[in-house]
Amino acid sequence: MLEPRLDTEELRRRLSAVVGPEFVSASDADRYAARDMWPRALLRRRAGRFEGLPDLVAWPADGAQAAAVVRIATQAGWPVVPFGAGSGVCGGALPERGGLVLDLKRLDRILELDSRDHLLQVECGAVGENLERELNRRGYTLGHFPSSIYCSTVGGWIAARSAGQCSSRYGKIEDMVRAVEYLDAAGERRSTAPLEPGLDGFSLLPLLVGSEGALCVLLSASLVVRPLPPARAFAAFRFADLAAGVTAMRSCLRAGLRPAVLRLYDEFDTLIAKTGPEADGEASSWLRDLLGRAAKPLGRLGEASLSVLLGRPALLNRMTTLLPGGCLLVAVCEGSQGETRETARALNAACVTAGGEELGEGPARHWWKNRYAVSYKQSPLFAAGAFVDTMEVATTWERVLPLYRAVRERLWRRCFVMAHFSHAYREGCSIYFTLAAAAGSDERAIEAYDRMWREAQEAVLAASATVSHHHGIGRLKAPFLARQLGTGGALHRALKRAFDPDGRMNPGTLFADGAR
Amino acid sequence: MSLLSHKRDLAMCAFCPKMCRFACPMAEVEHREAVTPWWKMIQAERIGARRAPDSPEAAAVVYHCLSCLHCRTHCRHAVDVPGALLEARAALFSRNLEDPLVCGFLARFRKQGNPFAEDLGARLERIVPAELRPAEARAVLFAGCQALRAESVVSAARRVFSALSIDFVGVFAGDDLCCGAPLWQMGDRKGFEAHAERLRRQLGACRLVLCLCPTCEETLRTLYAEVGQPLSARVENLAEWLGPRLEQRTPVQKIPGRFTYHDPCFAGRYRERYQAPRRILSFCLTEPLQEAAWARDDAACCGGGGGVPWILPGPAAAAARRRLKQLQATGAERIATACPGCQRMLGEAGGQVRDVIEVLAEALDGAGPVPGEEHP
Amino acid sequence: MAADETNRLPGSRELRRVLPALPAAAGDGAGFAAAVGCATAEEISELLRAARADGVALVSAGARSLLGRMVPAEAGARRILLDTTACRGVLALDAEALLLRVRAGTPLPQARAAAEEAGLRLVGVEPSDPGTVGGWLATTARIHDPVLALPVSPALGISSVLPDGTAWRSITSPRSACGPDLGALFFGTGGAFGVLTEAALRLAPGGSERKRISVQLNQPVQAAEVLRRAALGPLPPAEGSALIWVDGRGARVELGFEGTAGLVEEAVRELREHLKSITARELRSGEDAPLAVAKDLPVAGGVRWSRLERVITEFNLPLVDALMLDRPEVSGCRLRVLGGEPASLAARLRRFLDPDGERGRARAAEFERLRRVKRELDPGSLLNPQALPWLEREVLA
Repeated sequence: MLEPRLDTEELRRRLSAVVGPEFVSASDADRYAARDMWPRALLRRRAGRFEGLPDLVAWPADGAQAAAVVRIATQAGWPVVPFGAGSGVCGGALPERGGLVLDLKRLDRILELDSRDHLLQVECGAVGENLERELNRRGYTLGHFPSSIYCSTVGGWIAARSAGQCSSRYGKIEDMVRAVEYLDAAGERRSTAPLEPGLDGFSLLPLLVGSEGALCVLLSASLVVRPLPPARAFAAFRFADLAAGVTAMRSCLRAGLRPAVLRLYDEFDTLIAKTGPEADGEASSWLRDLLGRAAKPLGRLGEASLSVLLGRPALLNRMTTLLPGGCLLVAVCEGSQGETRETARALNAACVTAGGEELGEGPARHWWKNRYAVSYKQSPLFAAGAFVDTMEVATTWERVLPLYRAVRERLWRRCFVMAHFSHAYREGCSIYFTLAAAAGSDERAIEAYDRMWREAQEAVLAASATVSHHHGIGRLKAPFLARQLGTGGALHRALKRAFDPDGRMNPGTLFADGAR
Repeated sequence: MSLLSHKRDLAMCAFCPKMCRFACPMAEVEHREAVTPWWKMIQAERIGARRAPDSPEAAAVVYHCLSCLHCRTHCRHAVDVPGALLEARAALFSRNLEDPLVCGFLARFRKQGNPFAEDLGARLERIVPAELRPAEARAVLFAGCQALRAESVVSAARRVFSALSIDFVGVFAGDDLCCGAPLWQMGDRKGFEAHAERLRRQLGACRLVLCLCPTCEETLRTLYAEVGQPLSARVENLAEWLGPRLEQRTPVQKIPGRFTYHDPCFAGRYRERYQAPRRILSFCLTEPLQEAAWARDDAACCGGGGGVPWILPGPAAAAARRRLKQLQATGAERIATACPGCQRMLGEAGGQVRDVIEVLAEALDGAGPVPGEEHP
Repeated sequence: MAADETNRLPGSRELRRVLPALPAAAGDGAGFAAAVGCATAEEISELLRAARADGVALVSAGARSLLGRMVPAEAGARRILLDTTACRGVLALDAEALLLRVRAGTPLPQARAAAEEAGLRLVGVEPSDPGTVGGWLATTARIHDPVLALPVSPALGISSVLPDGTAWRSITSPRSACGPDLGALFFGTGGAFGVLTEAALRLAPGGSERKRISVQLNQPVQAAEVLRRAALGPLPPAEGSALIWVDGRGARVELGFEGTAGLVEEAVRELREHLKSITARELRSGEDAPLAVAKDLPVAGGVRWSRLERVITEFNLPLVDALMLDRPEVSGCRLRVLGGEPASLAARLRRFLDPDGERGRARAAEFERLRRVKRELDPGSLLNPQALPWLEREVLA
């Protein structure tokens, strides 16, 4: 990449003229804080290393200001990293090459909510929970509930092809979005024409959704909303094994049901799902308690410390195979009274037919109450010196269990593995792996982390599954996506060159080797 | 207390993906990652450990906290962010690294012993007759600086006492009419301790202190004890204390119109006092309260907490506008609250805001609205 | 392939080398320098590489049925026709994942038959669609997912030969978060970015219960409302259409529900409740013969519900015999017109719906960007050079 043609001070001066001096910052605090939550970067930070500092952060007030900022920065040869709430876990918003972080959170307005067409026009900097509550107040829901809803933005969702917990009913974000307004690398402001209902003509939209800031800056979006469901029903089932549970999920989708939530947990995740969240106030952590319980059949290991346990992943993984209790499936149905009742009835029948034992509403209500708990679980583990990450992959039904087994086998000695199966579609579903391990030092932890991901993604690639289902690619998975694409990488590179010929937009993310 | 005692809190925040950010009014109005509780806590940890970046400029983010505790409503680790950030401010102050804005404010505070740098005693004399300001009383109304500045709520309290024939409560008229909370908020622990000691002596033999302002209440009750100056008097909130005294009463005149209620942080999240003010309002009003989508432990702060208005008036006012918008979204014409500070912030943002005590006064004596309720 | 055909490509060394070994096209290649019928991806690769080396354009075509808006294969002396119909056959039917893997030259009726044999149905393919799978995908960017009542991509995975002759196979996954959806370069783009060789098409099992309802309505706007409610209802209709006559004969709505017995019953109950509230009449069996409407009615647009009401109440309807609504979604439906000169009526309606030309400008900007991608992948625009200009003309007409 060429060297920027303006120095930081000159760029700052020019940007200040656009957005106002208080909305451009070169302060340490703003530069250090402009980063996402990639666990690898957290490990580096724990080791005392802050890497990936932008030179400046700017907060435009609207699309016009954002356009001017991008124009000035890219013309002067500076990289631009679009930034929402920085909750990503893949290093997708990590300004490793410096440059300008374009923070879009001032663009957080609801521009229009059309009650007749159920279309929401919203700016991309809106934070999920605030948006959803406002929609609820007006009698609607977006139906998009990622566990990061408290700390992620509409733009981040679209940029990373996010999925919410109710995706079986409402779809992923790419199913909801009908149009976007965006800036290209030259700072030109454009909109895709809204997808016309019932029509099947070409649209640029699917090429911008998922572009992770590497093709354009998303400014606003048109999204389909739904009426706030008046009724909700909960159900839970226990299956003897994963295979029976997967069969149950598949038959529910096959029957054309639209349960809001359908989640199946493997044996260990079942234990966590049933009992987890209450204990997480303590730094000693929910996981240690559970590991302790799980370890009891094997003797006194339960007393051992968390890091020691996680330092012996093979043993831990072996223990989980001895767990009694089968696999838990939680389901939530919502909609009108009648739809909810009938969906719950049909779902119940499908699960029982597949061998499910009815557990009543309890476990599903418990899950609902704690549905965002997963996002809080990272802290105690990192604080205790261990590390944890999650890998969400997807494939078609016949490959789901082989994929699960392949990943577990591959990681058997690398990290502790547990998983749940959520985001079910008629054709297949995603697997959400939680991977946890510990190493003697932060340096070794980083090595172990890299090795863990390499092995995990190798297994995914070998199983012909997709390397990401809803977290996106970022820096973490860019090399693996390149391999998944194979010769299709040429298409990626062509897109990059067509939108960002000089490689200014969020360099280093998504496209492993940039435009070249 | 010190930053060390917050070690666990700091660690929980450092690795959290900012799950409370949407509830943090400062993060919401400033839009800066650096003022999310996540980064403020990372910065606090670095201040504690004297690690870079510890430039005054980087450290200044710890002042961007309203102490509203809204973050904790959405924290599964029950982290006390305000507590840790107040410790960080104290650490900076003790090292003479406090923000220049803090120095400026403290100089202003010291002029008259209150954040408004105003002779509040003169105001008190104007609105409360001498016979109601006994030199020594067993029970006093501690108006606090915000209420004295607004005046109307103090007058309203007098009307309520009169309507309920409460004749044993005097209005505190010592030398220090501010509880000193701003000193604590700025990290000036020694200054605060000295202030607390003076006020404790002035309250002398008093057995009951009734507060209009939940911040005064929290300060007198909790923080004074923390710096070794516990009051011997019981500290109560006036609205809560009045509750049982209304049981056998009926209002002379119920007040028409659609009201919503703003939960002050120190009444709500700190004391879990959600019902008492609502009961008073339902006692007074003809129509049921219009509850905001963000209420009770999820009520956004008015922007008045944490000393923020004194040093960062812009963001504080933005937080007030944000809260006002949420309250106005209920469709209510009027807003009631139970804190003179909230009343001032929301009033300055353009809201029609009344204290529950003012509403109660009007309902109890039927003598019309308390004058001076309208803010410019 | 006959030697005289290759003689028409003077100076084309590579093509002269590979063409003789490639099979001739089954169909008519009149007007082209050559017409080749490749049966495999390898053959297509070889042909594309040779054509690129020689700077000769290549036009791919399936059955040339002009299905939908199939790109017309323009002939030319420096153009070769690539007939893909030999690249045909059902590869696998995965009844578990509900996918049919077929080669792109497979005729749609053959693909449909393979699905039906397994008791399944191809999603998004109309029963009467002729042509090939490849042709259908090249003209279909999205299909309607009746379960979500939202649009989805028409295939889950594809294989194709890119303009430089490289073969590419995408991953087959129900959804992903792997950057831009590259399928969008192949679906509905007329073959501008590659020649499809295989696809995994979606199958639907069909509900355990089916129910068809026909309704006669007096007020045209009521018809749109019935469709709108159905799309938002407990069971979005597998089929839904409305015919609105403008001569005062009112409107007729047909809805087909498929699903579990309970949900079908619930959807019908909600529908009947609504019909009762607007005093509309459900047609009894015998009265409800399906509407006979020409399949190839010109499309006026995909219309949002709120604007549809404006069309019904404000558009100069005397010019129109009837409006046909179908493919109801959460936010609107497809609108077609019946009348004296349907094509010009459709154009007038499009102008009515977009008076400021905002949509046209946005579409033009999309194509401008797409042309850039095309230039990157296919400098000289040698693969299906007619595709993008044709699509753009269609869209901006």
